Amino acid sequence: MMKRLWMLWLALVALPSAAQVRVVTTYTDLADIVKQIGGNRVQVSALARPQDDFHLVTPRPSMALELSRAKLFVRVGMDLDLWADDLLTAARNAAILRGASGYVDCSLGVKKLEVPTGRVDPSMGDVHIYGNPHYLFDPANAKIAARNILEGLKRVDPANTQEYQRGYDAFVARIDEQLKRWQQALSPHTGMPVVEYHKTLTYFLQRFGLQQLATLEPKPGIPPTPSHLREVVARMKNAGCKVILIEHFRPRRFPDAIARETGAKVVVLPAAVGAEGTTDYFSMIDAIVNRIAAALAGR
Amino acid sequence: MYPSIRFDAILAFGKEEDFAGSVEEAYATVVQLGNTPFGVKLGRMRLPFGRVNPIHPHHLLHRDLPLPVLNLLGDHGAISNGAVLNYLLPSQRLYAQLQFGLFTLNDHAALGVPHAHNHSEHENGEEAENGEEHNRHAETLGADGQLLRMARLALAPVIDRDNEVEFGLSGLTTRARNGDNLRLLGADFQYRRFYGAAQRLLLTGEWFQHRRESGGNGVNRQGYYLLASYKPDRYWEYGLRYDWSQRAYLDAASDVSGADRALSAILTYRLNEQSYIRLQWRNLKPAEDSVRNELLFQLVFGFGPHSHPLEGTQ
Repeated sequence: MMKRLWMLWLALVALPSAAQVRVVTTYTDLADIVKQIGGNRVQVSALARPQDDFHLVTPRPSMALELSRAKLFVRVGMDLDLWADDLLTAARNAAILRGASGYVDCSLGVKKLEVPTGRVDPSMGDVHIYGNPHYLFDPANAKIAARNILEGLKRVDPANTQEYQRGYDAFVARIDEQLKRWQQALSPHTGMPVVEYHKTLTYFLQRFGLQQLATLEPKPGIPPTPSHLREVVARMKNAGCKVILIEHFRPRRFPDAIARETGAKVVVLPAAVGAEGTTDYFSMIDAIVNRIAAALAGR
Repeated sequence: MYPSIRFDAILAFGKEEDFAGSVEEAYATVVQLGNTPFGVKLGRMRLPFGRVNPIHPHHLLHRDLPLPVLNLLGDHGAISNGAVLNYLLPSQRLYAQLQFGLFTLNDHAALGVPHAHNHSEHENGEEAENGEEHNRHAETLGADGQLLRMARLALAPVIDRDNEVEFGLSGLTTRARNGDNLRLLGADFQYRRFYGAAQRLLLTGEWFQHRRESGGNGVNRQGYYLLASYKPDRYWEYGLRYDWSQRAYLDAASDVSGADRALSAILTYRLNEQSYIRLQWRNLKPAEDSVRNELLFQLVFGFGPHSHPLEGTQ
């Protein structure tokens, strides 16, 4: 009897619960890319909720529990999801630690923007020393992230390499096809200025030829100040800027005040898959492109 | 240092009589020992006893340590040299971590008692128990060179993405300076509800019991605190805390009325991810003294992104 119970215990704790590869990502957009590559061969979950501010995710024990059972951990990197590091320690799963086969940093290979040069000090705000980490808003970078995910899936589940390769190829083909459509939608507005709350869309704006005139934050992560907002208003009036872009989790108080003074339109954008009714990476970029195009067209 | 080994060091510089630096914490964490489900932490660290004690002060939701931590663990909480073995129980729906620790109490500063203190010089240095004089909070845990054994069980059942509840049980034993056997028990809970992008409601509390055995007589001391905190957005945070605690080495064991009490209202404004300004009003009623109203101020200034602590689960 004791032997049977022991065998049952071993079966419960030592064997994988299903044939699917358990993948945990830091954000929902990465979870969606994993799903598109891995299909039903992966069981994927994201630690952050779609409504979370991606800088301010609170680590919780339930997240450590998810990581303790994961075979693959996928992160944005560049210190955006540094909040996950203590979770990795708490999860006690060496298979997904930095350098292990189950660890994927999707920023590898991305051409990084706004990498600080020279001295970095507190006067610069929440500056990321590896550069602006919001590269996933450029669809071309999503292909690089997908490539990193593909390599990770191949490492932890080599038996299904061909399936993953097919998923990756389909994802890349769809990005290439959609990218043309998105570029067409924004091409009439090339060079037009926009104001952002935070430098979230730097990669996106560069890809689609739009000009980032200013941010409501005086420095990354620093709340807007009255003197800085006055300066932003003056610059918007000079440049004829009529669009303020904010992520779905930002407070409306500051952008609404600027909009009243300048006559600009505040455009709320989904900054994560699952926010603002989006269901996957493509619908998220779709929504961003369509809303910006409509605002720039004065609609 | 290595994928499964990390090293943390927290250095402090300050001026009391002379400007001096000290190592508050310096420890190595081995995330997983081989293929076993065990992890280990070695070095000088805050003891993983209870909920507040393991947390580095600048990550707390209040400026001060709650009275039961001050009275029953030490002025800066319990910090010492040793090792902790961690075991994460295999479970699908319950985060359950067991910790076993072994520490040596070889440094008074570890318990928040400055080396050079002459207890009789303290305004609060009172009481002669078992023929020995004690500072109000000093040596609450034990004596130099003694071994301290401890264990903690942390439980967090998975509810859903917006709600998190945690429970903890802690216990430690050691020997006090006067030779008494000393035992400390703790129970804690925390409930957090997350809504919207940055809103959070938090309710938490801890209870400690300090017991000493001396010549067949037992001395019991207790303390608890309750904290409610509400964060309506990413910038502001409002807190209310009530503390009640007897002192480890003061008054007769039966004198329950000889307890310190405090009510605190806490206001925090977060400038960014790691910089904040905090005001705390504390209405303190020491056991032997009249009510004091205090205003505490804290400015924490950090830069760059860094990891966020997982409260009480490491």
